[in-house]
Amino acid sequence: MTLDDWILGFHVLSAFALVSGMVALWTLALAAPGADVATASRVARAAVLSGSVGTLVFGAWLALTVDGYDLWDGWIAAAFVLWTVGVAAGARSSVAFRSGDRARGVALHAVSTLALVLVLADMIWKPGT
Amino acid sequence: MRYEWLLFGHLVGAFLWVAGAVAAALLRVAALRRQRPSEVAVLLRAVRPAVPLLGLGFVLAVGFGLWLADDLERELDSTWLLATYALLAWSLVVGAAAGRQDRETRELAEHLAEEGDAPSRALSRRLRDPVNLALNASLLVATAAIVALMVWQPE
Repeated sequence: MTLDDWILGFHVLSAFALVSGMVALWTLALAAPGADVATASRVARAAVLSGSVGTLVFGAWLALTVDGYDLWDGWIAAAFVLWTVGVAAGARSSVAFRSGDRARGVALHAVSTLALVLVLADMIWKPGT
Repeated sequence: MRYEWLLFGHLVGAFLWVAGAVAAALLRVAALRRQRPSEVAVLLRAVRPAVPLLGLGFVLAVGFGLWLADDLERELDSTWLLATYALLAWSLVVGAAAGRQDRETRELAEHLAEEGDAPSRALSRRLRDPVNLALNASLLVATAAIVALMVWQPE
């Protein structure tokens, strides 16, 4: 296995951590509203944060090192934009939930989730290649 | 084009399955820290939506995974796939057993919540049962191992 294989592996594992955290937050928000889930939420948010950073760092690394990929390729640039949208919406969602505005929190988490699904599609189809 | 759709279906399934397992584990851990049966019941009831998510993810991941392997003309009896089948079988059997125990714990919590909602040693013992905790932990380990096998596919 080459170094790029390892980096790709860590990139995918980071994606699993990110998605797991996102779905866990959905479950906590929708299935246990009002319950004291502070610790569970903290763990889920930690998974989202570590997954977000990991996908970005390892993804950028691959874009720089793998032959045929460049940071300015359309699909890679789109991934960066969607990543930014997802992270921003997710951060605002967290603030909304903490301030008690559940409806706004759910809406922003939905935006973050949609961005995540679009990134997955982008990674698979690599539009423009 | 077909490859991309098969991979998309496989990854969506895998993400749903792993995410469902993590969500269920987090809720189970959150329930451990609660004293009142009503609070435990709310958290264990919240695990229920994660179960069909797990099931759907499992079916999609395995179904699209086998289709993908066939499409790519991969050997279905390679070492890493055989290890994956074993871990999948473990997950199914242990998941059913641990799930049954957790359902009985939730029913006890709901019953105690109706009977005055006082903290209960019996409920606490069930939540902290080392066998149940070990079974649930083994599910997470098996899930992580499957993800690692899928990513690195060691020969």
